[in-house]
Amino acid sequence: MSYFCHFNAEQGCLRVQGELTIYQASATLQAFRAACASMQLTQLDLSQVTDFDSAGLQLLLALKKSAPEVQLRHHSDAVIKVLSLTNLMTELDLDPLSGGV
Amino acid sequence: MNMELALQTFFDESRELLTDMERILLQLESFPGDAELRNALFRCVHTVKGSAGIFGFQHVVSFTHVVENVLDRLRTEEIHLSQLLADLLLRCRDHISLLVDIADPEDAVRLASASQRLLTELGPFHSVTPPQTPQAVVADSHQQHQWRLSVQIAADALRFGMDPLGFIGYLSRLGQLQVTTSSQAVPCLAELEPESCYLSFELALTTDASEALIKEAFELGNDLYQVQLECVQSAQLAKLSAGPPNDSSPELLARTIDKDAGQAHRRKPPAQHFRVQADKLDRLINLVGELVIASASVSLNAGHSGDAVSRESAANLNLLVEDIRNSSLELRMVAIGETFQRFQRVVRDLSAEIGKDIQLDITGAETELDKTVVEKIGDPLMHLVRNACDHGIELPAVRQQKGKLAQGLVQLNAYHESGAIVIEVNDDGNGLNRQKILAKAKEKHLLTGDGHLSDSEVFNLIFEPGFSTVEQVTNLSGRGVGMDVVKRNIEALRGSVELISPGTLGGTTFRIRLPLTLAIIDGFLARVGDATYVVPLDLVVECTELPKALCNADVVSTSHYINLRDEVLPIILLREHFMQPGTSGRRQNIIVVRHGAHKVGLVVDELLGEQQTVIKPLSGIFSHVKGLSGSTILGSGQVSLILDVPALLQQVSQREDSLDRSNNRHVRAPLAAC
Amino acid sequence: MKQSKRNDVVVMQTEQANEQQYLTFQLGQEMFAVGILHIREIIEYGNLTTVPLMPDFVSGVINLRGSVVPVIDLSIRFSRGQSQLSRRTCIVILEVDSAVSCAADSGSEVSALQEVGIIVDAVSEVLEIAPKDIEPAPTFGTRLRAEFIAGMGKVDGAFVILLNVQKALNVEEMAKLASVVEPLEQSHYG
Repeated sequence: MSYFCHFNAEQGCLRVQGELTIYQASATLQAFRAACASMQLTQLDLSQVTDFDSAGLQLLLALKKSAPEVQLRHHSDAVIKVLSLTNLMTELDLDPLSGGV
Repeated sequence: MNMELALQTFFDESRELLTDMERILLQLESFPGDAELRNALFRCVHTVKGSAGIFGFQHVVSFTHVVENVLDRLRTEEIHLSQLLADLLLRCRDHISLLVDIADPEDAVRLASASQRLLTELGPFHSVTPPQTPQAVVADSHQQHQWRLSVQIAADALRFGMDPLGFIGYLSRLGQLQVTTSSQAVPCLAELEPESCYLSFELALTTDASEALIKEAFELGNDLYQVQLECVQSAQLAKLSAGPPNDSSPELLARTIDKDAGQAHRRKPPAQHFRVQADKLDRLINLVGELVIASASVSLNAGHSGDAVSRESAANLNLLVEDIRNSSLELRMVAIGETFQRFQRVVRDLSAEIGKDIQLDITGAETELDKTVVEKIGDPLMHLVRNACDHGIELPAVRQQKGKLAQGLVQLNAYHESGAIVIEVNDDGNGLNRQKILAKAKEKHLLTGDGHLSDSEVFNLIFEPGFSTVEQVTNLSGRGVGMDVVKRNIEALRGSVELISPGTLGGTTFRIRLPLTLAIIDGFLARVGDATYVVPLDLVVECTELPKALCNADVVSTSHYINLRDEVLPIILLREHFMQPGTSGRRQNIIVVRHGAHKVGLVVDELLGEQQTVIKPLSGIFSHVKGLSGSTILGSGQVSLILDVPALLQQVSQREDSLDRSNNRHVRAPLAAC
Repeated sequence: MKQSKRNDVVVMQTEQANEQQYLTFQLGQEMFAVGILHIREIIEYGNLTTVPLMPDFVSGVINLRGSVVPVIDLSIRFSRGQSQLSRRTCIVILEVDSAVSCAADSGSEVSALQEVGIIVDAVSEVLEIAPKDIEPAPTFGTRLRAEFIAGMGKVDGAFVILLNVQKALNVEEMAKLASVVEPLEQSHYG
């Protein structure tokens, strides 16, 4: 149930914790925009994402479109499941063979 | 729409569909040639399976898949509905409803062996290879097709709770699915509307599932999804697309799918429904009740003020409140049909069990009554129907000996009559044996003394606690409990039950009379001494002044009857009945009330007119009071008591019967209206 | 959880404060008292609707802001004859636990509260009576069923009868008494 985004500016790492669905889409978008604006964002840690839906998927796609250099890391099972179902693994930095980074 | 809500919808709809399935199966037994019924039957199971698939309930899907296949073959007339198959399908229906109810796949394990047994029984009828898991279903290769789907999604889909991952997940379980997600439309962060949908999909599916089953994936999405469906392998455009293959725009196909859905709708009764929590409705009704009282008080005060303008405003307000009251009470009205329908199955199973051939006829299924009443009438009805099958209808051989049809008939009938709903349970069986009942009653010490009893009194003995006439105790009825419970339950709903039978000539009818609603009624106010009583207006036939010659209290109280326009009318002096102090005034009035076939005149001091009243139950220390069914609050704030007319009438008929016996004279109120 | 605990404490404090407080009222020449926790409100006498076929001690029902509340003539209930109405007569609305048998002794949660009104000749005052000033009920001499009395309170050297509301206004018992009265017609049957 709990959700928050934690941005570690030093490491340039943004971590999403909890659900990443339509209910948090608006808040997450703000966090993404802010992190991108700081020019320090290098990676997105997805290890703590517990729930993931199409809205979440779109956010990742949009992030990739705005900042292709940002690496998506540590995809959680919830994320992997959706990416494999939609066949978007390579687009979103998931190695199709290892099933995770 | 969140997941929980969607799930609830799934449960509700599945339950409805399964109820339909039972009804259709039973109908189909009588009309095996009806193709429309066979199609409808298939659709029921098909939809349950489809929705279960969307939620990933594999245990439901894998079982229903086989049932669906059987029904599919049934509808294409590859197989025919035998008694055996009908039995089996009914049991499958029950099993599906169990499967749906457990929802949690973990728990499905304990039903697995039951599933397996039924599947084995279904063996001779279906054409699927053993479908343990959906994967196994897919493995059936001889009917496999390749499908290509192109799905456009409305921007609002996510906002409406439709996540495309839902149909992708569903399709991936139907077979081998290749997904190409088109994400070009997703903008950069600066332009992203986080709740809009930008995705679209191209899908390639290899499956043996039918086209209908594939389309099922998009059923919940309504017009949010535009789907183009094409069967690649046979290089034919799917049947549903009428246009030439290459021209078929998504819009066109969407329209064709819509049209298909539209036809499905037309086949069903064209009612649009909206689910509302029952307690919200109850709260509304309570508030409307308070509103009714408040508005009565406004009218009263306006009347006292003598101001014409406020009187008119109050009158307008009153009209509106009356409308609001009626409409809100209507919200709670449901047709009795669904309750009746349940008994088709009961009668069918029961007659098989006790070796009788019984048909159940239903009339008046559309008759409406308050939901709270419907909920509580099911059990008493169940008992009466079982009773009719068990005790009423004779064995086929006995019936033939008597020159009747071997098939017995039980009828359920409902209709409205003066503000009440009447439900009749009727059988063309044995009828009641007066001597047998009397003997039994004496044996059970339910009867003291040897007083002569009328037929109706004897018959009504079966409502006494601990009465049962059947020697042999079957496992369904005849346990000697029940009839008294039936009567008590019905009386608790402010209703009444009577038994009509021409004795051993055959046939018995139970007639239940219930108020349409338990909350608010139109009342007729009358004064007796300093007390004000309310008579439910629906029961009032007429009001009239008591002829002067009869106003002498002695005359009236000794005769118990008056002559009203050459009609003999039994009367009750309310003052005397309720042992109120004081003497009646010079002028007396009569309110003629009717309940069922009986009429009685209530003698009161003054008629005060109509008023809407909210029923407040009399509880606690008043729980045993006879002749009063509740109380209400008048516009003045005064509490007024509501007369229990059925109870009063019962007392009169008892009085009448005792007069019958003592005077050996037959006096009955004529039935004709005056 | 935390929230409700805090509330409980508050309730407990007020209960302690009120536990020793009693409303005294007059019935004929005698003084009675009822624990203030049982009392909902006191209203003017009037607008009573008589319910027929009830025993004499049930004076009728009143409309208390939309709910229909029975009113008991305590004087008749205590076999002291009908109350004489005066300008000071009023109705005291009490809360009675209608599922008495189980809740009274075990002290378990109060289940079904029912409002009952009693007619009293005059309401006197709210008094504090300390437990040490309360004597056990005498077994005779009060012309009252012993179980109706919770104790005798000493006030300014005189005694007031502390009522056991739960027993004196036992809904179950009163309902049974009410059911004995039958309409005349009933006797014809059988």
